[in-house]
Amino acid sequence: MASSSETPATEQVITAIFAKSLLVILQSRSPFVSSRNYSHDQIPLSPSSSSGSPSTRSSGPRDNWFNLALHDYPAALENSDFWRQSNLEPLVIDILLVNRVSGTEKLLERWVVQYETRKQPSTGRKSKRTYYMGATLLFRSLYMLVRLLPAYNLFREINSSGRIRPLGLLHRIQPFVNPLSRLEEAEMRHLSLAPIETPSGRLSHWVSYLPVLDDFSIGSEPSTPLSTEFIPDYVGSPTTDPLKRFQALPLGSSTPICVQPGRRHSWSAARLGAPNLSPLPEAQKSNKGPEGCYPFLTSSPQKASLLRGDSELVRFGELITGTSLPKEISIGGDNTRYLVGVKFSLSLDLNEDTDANYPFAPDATNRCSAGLWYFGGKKSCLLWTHNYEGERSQGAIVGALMRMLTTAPKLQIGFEKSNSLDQNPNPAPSGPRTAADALQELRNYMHMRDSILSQSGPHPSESCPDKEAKHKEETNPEKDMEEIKMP
Amino acid sequence: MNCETCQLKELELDPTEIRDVLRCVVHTIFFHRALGLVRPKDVDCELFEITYVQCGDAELEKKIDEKLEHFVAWSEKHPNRKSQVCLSFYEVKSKQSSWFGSKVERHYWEQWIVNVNVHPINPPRSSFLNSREKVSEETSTRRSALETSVREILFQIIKFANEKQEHIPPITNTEVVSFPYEISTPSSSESQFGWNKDAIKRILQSDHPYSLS
Repeated sequence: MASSSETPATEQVITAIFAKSLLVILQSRSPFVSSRNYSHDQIPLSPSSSSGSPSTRSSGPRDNWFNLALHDYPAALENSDFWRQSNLEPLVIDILLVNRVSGTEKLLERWVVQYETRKQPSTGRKSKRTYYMGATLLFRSLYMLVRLLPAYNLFREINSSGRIRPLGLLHRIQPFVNPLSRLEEAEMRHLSLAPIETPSGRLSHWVSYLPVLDDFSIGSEPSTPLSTEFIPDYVGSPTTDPLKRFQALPLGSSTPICVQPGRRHSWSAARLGAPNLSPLPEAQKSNKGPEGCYPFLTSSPQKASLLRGDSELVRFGELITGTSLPKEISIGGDNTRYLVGVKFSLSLDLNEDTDANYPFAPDATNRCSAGLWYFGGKKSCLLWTHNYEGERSQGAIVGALMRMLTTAPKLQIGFEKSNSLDQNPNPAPSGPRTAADALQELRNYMHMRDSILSQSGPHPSESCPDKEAKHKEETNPEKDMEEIKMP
Repeated sequence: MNCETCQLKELELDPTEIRDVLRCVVHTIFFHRALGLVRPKDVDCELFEITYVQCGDAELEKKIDEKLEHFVAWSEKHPNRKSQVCLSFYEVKSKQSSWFGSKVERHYWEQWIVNVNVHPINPPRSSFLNSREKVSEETSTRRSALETSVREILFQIIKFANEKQEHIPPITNTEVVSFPYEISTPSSSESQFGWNKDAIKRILQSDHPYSLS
């Protein structure tokens, strides 16, 4: 065992300095050695033990070294210095913050106690009392210093919680000083206590420590912790008003629907089952869009992502409880189904050119189904459609339906029963009608009548002179037309 | 023997903060100079996240509390004034007098001067709507700055106590507080600047040249 040129008594004091330093540091950094885990009654304090003689290796005298009575430490701590072969080896205590989940470690503090022999012993005789006094003063400062550094509060917090936390403090004792990394050197501050001068050497204490412990971020975790922002009114939240305007969406635009990237919201069937559903109001015609922007509608020609098909519509119908359920009607001979039970409030100006104003172009061949989306407690609703073929947007389908309804020809008596209508080579013109048109239509009508009559055979009433007169009158429409011909 | 003097950084305190702050500072000084057998007692500050250490001597604690109460009472009568709390360590020497026997003299070998500026911290005038939040925020900022100042002072004490050792006399007893001491607070004999006349007088009457550090 390498030894210095110190006297045995001095060596003994130096050994005690190492041991006491370890105890003072670990009692405020290691939960296993913490004095807070022990009661104060365990230490017998008596004036006779003030000499702090280490010969009596009991807990009392050893703890009173340098007039600083400390709690006893468990056997584990006593064995921690077994590796030290001599006082010439430094005592290096690393205090690490450990992440038990990721296994990463971060160096918080490095305490170093080192004894260096002097090449030439000092000329003046340094009595034992002098360096013992120096050690006494040093331990007052050391005891206070370990409580002033930032790691102490962290230790207190970890030690007091009494539960297993993902972060913990770990100490590592080494007989050598590992060089700090460049980052550690830059981050850490350094403090040194006044050295204790012994007859043949010097004992030094210093510490490198992190001045700021930022929220336990260590290792591979991001250096800047992500800021946590709670969005209380996220779309789909049960507490969020479904008609709430979202700033990111265009408001008050000419389009009655809002652009929203296609994503599935929780505005699903469950939402419709809210008890505060109310029957839809009357239609509100205005140039403005519907109230608010509803994120589940899109003006882009995208597949309606909210609906999956007829089954979805059926579900919607089932969930609308407590209101007048829409009844299914069919218009036309195709498979179009509309669930219309109430008036809807699409604010479309039907008098204007539909193609110019509506972003959705009608498609006569569009096969779609439509349904009504109810908003709980609100007075407006929207009509949405689902396209089986997935080619048209909901808005386009709405437009198609509207066009169909507004341009549907009026029903005429007897008109539907005749197949000749379908064969009418001259469809009703869409432009303004003239007298010539009316005359032509009359002729067609008469021709139709004659053909029907000829099919039904001669009628007994035909010999009737009144009827003949009537017939004459009827068979001479041109004369009548001439009479009424417009100048 | 030199009288080493340590002038601590000035503290700006609200009257409600005097006890907690000065108790922390004074006990830290005593912990470094009570070189008898000490069973350290960790004490948490009430206002800050600072843990300081007491010597565990009941008599010392009582004496410190009395002096601090005296200082608090004085500061209430003399608001908005700078003052000092002086902690002195001395040794008693008997000086043989020719006629009247021995004369006991005090030789002060160390002085700690705690500079304090006590003034009530009035909350600034804020708008009615934000008054409570602003006051709370400013109080918190001020309290944080004060905590930093207290920490700096504690580091200052550690540094001074560690560096200056040669002037400390030998321990002659087994008491916890090894050396006789004196805690001086402002009194009615104070000058208008709040200087402690007794402390200055002591320094001037000292046989040996004093050093200020």
